[in-house]
Amino acid sequence: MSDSNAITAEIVAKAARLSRIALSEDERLVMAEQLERVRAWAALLQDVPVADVAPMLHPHEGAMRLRADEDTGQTLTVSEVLANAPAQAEDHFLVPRVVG
Amino acid sequence: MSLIACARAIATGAQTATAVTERALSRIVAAEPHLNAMVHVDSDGALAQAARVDAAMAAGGPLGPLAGVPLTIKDLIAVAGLPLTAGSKMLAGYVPARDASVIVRLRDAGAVILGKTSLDEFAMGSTNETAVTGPARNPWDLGRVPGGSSGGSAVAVAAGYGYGSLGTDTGGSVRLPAALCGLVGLKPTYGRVSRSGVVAYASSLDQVGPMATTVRDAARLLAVIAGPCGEDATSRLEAVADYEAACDLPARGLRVGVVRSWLEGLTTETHDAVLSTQRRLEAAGAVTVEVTLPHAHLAVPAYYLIAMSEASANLARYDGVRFGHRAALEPDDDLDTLYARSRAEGFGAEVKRRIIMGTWALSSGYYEAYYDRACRVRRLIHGDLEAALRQCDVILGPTAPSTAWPLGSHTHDPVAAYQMDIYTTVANLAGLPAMSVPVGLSAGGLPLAIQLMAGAFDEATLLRCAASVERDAPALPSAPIALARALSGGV
Repeated sequence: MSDSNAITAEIVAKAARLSRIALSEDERLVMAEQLERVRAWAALLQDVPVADVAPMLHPHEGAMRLRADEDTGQTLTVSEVLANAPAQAEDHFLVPRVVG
Repeated sequence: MSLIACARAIATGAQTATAVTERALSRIVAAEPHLNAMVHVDSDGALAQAARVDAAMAAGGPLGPLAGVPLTIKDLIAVAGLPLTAGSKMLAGYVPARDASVIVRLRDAGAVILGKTSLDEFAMGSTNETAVTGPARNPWDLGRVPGGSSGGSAVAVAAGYGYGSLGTDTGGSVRLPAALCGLVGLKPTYGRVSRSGVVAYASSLDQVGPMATTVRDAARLLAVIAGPCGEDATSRLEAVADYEAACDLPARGLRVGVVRSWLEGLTTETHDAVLSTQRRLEAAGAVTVEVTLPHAHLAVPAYYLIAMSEASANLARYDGVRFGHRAALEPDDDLDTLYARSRAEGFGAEVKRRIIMGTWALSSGYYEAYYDRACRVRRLIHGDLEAALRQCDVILGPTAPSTAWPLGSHTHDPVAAYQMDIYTTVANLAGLPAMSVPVGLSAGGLPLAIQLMAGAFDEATLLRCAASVERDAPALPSAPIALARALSGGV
């Protein structure tokens, strides 16, 4: 793959923003260097002719098995769900204000 | 004593489950300062379960196949009421309300759960060095890695913390630590074992698998956890064979595939271990067939692109809202800041690297060239294995390029670290069963291992061949020498 695909600090910043992970400028620079090394190594795949090969997304394609649409009686209670919440009040998860 | 011998001793009344469990807990207390393999020890819960088994035994009630047998569990698998950290600060303090399906099956079989074992953070690593609790140490040489990501499980079994463990294997995370610690480790066919209640890393690759000191022990553990599960839509209905009976079958007549290109790039001792195993299998009546895997050299980069992409989606759930670490906010901070700061503080460096690389590989402009291409290469690798397994029943090769390496060897070079998975990732990409079997010690006293792979849902043939390898290979000492020396006060 040409260097036009090289992972720069700017590209890391964009992917980190999409990933919702805050990075300092120093962290972006270090990560860009490390990820570019991984990308350059993975570029080994670019030389393989795959135009006529369908992507394989899963070992058992098309074999997903769904259970009957009925109550299994195993639903967690509200208190069980909220037991691990870092901030909660009145049976709800707390988040910063989203609407004005 | 093996897991099977322990179960028999309890079932015949030769030993009580309580005495066996107390011994295992004492071993943990003595060895943990040297090994750092456990994240959480549940002494009270283990002793209560052992007492229930002893009471059932006294009442003449039926006992399950693992009744009273102490086991450990990788801390990526939910055990109700015990902390589940996934080796990460992100899940500090998280306690699941329900058992994973595999834990329900272990409990139904009468197993005693001693506690949770250390792992690379979110199972992302091959050395156990990214665990938030610090690296576990290899009991055969305390200055070396135990392998990962299920390193704590391997150390626990090798050190005598119970008789087996459940790990998870996304790219070799059961087989690699088993190989480096002198154990049997089995990754089942994708869909053979339920993933319900297991923290997801890469959902099209993850499988739970047993780790134990003998092939037959692994067969018993697999028989207990295998089979369809209504809570995992990817679990499959194929019948579970009699895995222990398969261990009694001779290797005579088995066709063993050998990949010549896999013998390059190995240390001399690992190379010789594979060839010696091949010769012993031939002496036992197996027939060697040379097979080729023309795309296998592409497996590691394809694997990492796919695993990182799936991880970027799976780990989106850690948002600081419903569970997990939450950053302290200023009054004017918004929801996006909560997400970004909580994830920055909660995840370690390797996890951030993989999430961000996965997000990049899935993003517009790069998707076709990286993620999509990796998935196409995955199909080529799957096709190679299908073709090879038409010519043979099992494929023999190395598990790792070398024996255990020193702690800190690859800390600053992710690509060098990823290359340790060169022989294990193909089975995950193709969804096939594979296992690592110990075949003696190196001149330096470190475990040597080989890997076997078989066709989908043919764990019975895998175990049949592994049992033959085990019968004819040089035996390992009953306990790691380095650990014994440390416990006796030596260096």
